[in-house]
Amino acid sequence: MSKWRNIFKTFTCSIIMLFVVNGFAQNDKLNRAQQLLQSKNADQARLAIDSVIVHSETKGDFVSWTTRAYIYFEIYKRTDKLKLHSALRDTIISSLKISNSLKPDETFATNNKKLLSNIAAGYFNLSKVLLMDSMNHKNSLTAYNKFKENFAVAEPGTNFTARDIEYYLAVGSLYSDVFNKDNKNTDAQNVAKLALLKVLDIQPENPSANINLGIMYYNQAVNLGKGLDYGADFSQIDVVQENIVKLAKQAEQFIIKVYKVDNKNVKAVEALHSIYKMLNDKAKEEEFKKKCKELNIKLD
Amino acid sequence: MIYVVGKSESLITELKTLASKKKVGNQDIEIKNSFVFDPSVSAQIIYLLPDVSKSIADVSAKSKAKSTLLVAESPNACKTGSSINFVIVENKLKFEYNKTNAVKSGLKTNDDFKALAINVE
Repeated sequence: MSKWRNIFKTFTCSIIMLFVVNGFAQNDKLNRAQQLLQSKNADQARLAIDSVIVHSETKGDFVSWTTRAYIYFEIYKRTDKLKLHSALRDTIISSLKISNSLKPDETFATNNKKLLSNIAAGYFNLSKVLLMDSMNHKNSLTAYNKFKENFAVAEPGTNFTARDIEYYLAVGSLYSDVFNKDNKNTDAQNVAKLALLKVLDIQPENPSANINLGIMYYNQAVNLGKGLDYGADFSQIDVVQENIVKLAKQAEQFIIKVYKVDNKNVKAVEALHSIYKMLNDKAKEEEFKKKCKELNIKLD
Repeated sequence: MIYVVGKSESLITELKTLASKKKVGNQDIEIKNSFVFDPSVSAQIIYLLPDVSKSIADVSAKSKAKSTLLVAESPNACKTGSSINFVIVENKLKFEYNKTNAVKSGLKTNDDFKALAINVE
């Protein structure tokens, strides 16, 4: 009986030892992953940390998940920063979210917030690159929305109004320029209109959005007129005139808002002169001709 | 020949562009411009700009029976001798037509044209 007891005790101790050693081994792996990260060996650190976060001893520890996020971030910086869809970035974000859910101490919570803000800023920069360099408004918008989504997690309660205006104004200005140079590009026209109307939803008096929209409608009318051939029949001329007047009146609605707030706005005064000329409104055309002269605006 | 009397660089430019692209039958279109009316000019169309609108009756009398179409763009021009007068109606450019003046000028008229215009008698 005594022998059996000893065997049982020894066996139990062995099992306990095995678990403790295994636990120590996982903590060693975490330490090793952190050391590898510090020594800029992120690829090796990745292998170590990926086993740490699946082990029962360490998967419930916020340190493991934050460490994993930082390790993946090192690799992401190297290869995926300009990719809209990045599995590495997704892993960073999900690791930070898990870490946050495990109630990290102040230091780790701060580090999580910093990294998530950094990732969000990366999305914002990417939205600019996709817009300005690639003219890919769809992907740019996806990146911009990802920026907002992640920044809102890092900094809850952030007001994005100013950013939204800045972003949609950039989209609207860029695409309205494209449309004004090539009036057949209706895709650019639609993208610009949607973006600029979004700005006006947020800030109805925004001068740039109003001016850009007004000029777009005006240019559309100009091109309708230019499209008429000398041999056009009267009924066609009537239809075109009708549409020109409609477009010019729409243009006027936007530009006049800017003029009412600032009657020395050069773009608004010049545009209104052209619009009234288009509308055959001699009195107003003359009125704005005088204003153009006062503001040293040269008319064609 | 289209004879434009008065000042309008943009109209002259546009008419010259038209003349370079279009013909009437086999004939080229010629554009002539002067700031005051010269009765010695023989034209098929005389276009009187607003700055010389006071001379409509005079021009009408001097070009009567010469088969010249008199076009103007000033209020009541069709009542003072012009056959066609451009007017602005609800921001749109329309034209008035006085058939009597056209006939008096020795022009043959087509009633289809009447249907497109604001008729003035």
